[in-house]
Amino acid sequence: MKLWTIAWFELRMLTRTRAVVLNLFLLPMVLIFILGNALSGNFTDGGEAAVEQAKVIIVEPKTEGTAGQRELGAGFGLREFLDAPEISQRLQTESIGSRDDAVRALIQGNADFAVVIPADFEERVMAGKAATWELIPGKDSMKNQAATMVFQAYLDEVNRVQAAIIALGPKAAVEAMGAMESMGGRGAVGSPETSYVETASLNARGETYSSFQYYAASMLIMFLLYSSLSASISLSEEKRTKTLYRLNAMPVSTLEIFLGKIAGNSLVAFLQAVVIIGGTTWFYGVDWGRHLGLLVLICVLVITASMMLAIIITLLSGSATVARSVVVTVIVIMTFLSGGFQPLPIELIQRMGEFTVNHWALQAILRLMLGEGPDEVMKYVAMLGLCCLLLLAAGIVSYRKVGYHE
Amino acid sequence: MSSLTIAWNVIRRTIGTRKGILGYILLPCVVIALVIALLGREEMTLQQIAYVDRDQGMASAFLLEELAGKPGYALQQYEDEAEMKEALLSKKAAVGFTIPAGFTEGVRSGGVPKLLVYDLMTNEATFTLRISLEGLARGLASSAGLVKAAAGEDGPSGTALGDVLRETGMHRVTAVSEDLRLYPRKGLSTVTGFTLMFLMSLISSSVTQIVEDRSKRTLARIFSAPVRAWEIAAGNFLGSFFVGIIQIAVVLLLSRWVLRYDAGIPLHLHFIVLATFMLVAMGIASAAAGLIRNPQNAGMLNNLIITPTCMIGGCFWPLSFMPEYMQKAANFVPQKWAIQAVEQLSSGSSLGGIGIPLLILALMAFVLLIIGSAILRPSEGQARG
Repeated sequence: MKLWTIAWFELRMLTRTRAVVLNLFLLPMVLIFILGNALSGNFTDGGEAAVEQAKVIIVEPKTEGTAGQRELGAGFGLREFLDAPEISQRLQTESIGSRDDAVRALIQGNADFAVVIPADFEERVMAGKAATWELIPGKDSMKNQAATMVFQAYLDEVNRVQAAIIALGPKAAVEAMGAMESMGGRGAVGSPETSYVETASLNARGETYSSFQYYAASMLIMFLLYSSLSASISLSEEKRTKTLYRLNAMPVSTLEIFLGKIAGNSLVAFLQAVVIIGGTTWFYGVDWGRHLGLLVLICVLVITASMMLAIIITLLSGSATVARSVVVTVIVIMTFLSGGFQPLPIELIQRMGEFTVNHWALQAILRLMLGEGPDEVMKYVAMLGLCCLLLLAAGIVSYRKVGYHE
Repeated sequence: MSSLTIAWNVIRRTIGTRKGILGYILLPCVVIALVIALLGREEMTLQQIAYVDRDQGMASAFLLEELAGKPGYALQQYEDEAEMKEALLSKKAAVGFTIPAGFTEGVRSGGVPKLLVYDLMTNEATFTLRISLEGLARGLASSAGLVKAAAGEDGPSGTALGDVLRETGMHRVTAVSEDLRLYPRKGLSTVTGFTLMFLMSLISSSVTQIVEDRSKRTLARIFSAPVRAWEIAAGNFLGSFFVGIIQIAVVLLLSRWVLRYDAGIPLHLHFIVLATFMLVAMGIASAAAGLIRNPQNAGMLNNLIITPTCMIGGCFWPLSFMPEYMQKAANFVPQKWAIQAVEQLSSGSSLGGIGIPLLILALMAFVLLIIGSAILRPSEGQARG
């Protein structure tokens, strides 16, 4: 009974502190919101439109015979290509006579990108020979990327037409292009409306899956582990403020005080899990899968691991501040290794990740979200349980060795 | 003079201990070294891409060959979707795609079936792969259209498309990139981002010490000494400032001379940008500390501020990834301006070129430090908050 009094007190203390409440309940929701929105945006529209228009200089050789009057002499529909609304929205082009001028403009920041078209480009393409443009990237990485993509697409187009001419013979190819244009389909560029790629769902039940879910899962685990921080603080604060003495003077055993504190912090962590799962489901529409029981089990296991982590580190390290920084470092390293921040395609790191609590919990939750059967998920839950047992044993040993007293 | 004494004490207390050296000097160095090492490594830029080829035809072979020829892609074949999904889930591959059965036939007849792209979490890799696939499929469709139109009523001959594709694969018409190295070095924004994050947590911890002084009434005792109020304020701020300067210097020197990560930025300008940012960080930390009086909770509140602002400010991923309204929100975050200034420096700007971001940072620092100076009121001791 005394245990529950202490646990209840712990819970009230934590939920009444403004900073703690903000940290436990608001921060995870904010982080999931930012991660989910910042990175799961539909890139095919919107994502790219946000890039500012890039100023591109096109360097063309002066064609002596025609007195340089022909604007943008290079044929193959370059003018039409650049004037198309989806391109001209992104690139603003300007013609300049010499490469040196273009380079100077780039260095001074007057232009974002330059393209040098060799004098004999058209001729060589028609003759079926190799021909190259020179692309000169400027100061802005994003604009460079956008412009490179546009011109690469154009050159790929020219390359394909040239290939068709070589393979089919010039006459047939030109006729074919004419035929396609008269059919209304823009033979050279292709209509950008029709999409050839579709985003498919990893979900076994064929329901939609978004990277929002991934971040919700990895953040849930990280924050449940972070509750070990408040447990650690709570354990050491009692010593710092000398209230442990007073508690010891009461008719209550040290073990009860200790377990009461852990129980209180576990309850808060569980509350946190409920808020995160409920909040993400209602506000962001995150699908946590169909097996609520399993999800609860995973949360309980992670909370156990988190509390044991707090106990082991707090009891074994000399001072409160050391304990706090060790707890934070361990959590961040585990999250990092398990790919919670960013998947790391390096064999060694993935191997090391398998020794973390985060890895097994994340895999179990992801599989739940993707609609795999309970049998599949149980494999990962079992591994998670094993981790918890080991930590529990270590926790008990360290309590027996060190104990909780001044 | 008294200010300097106080400042010296702040420095000694923050980084004079073994824990301080470990946490605020060594740890940032290790993490930044790791970030530089990871971002500089080939495996990190090489995107692992899983695929399932259900078509096994001419068009899919061409598509895969073209994709493999693009720089930065490492393709891995899987037998079926289940296996590929497993690889994605265990993060062996960043993104996967399926070429549907009948793809070649579809290309020939004009009704191209859609390629299916799978990803666990959307990022730069999945984004660019989608665009590449889109371009390749469109090219295939349009080549096939040409062949069909050329063949006219006779119907397309099987070999004609193959010939066209083979000739296309020769890549006679290409572009070469003439690199003037004008743009910022790849990965610079992430390296800067992590530096900023550590700077913020270091500063927040040194400001937490001021709050601790107040809750222990040390501040009140200092005020009773024959020292002017402004000297105490200046001393505390100078102390935090020097601690930050030391961290910046160590990190900069390490990345420059030990790790040989040269971003092409003059050392003194890099230093100026980071130091200005540090002032803002001091302002944020002290303004936050002003809200909460218990030193431990002040540290927690800083977490609440540091991580989300670092995310919005583009410390961990490029700003252009984010939807437009979030990019606008980034304007209110100092990290964005610091990273922008560093990138501009890296692409060859001088001090004049980064005037605007620096000015914005300075203004933010000014406003926040004024709000934050309230924490130095000695009268309020430890309170419930």
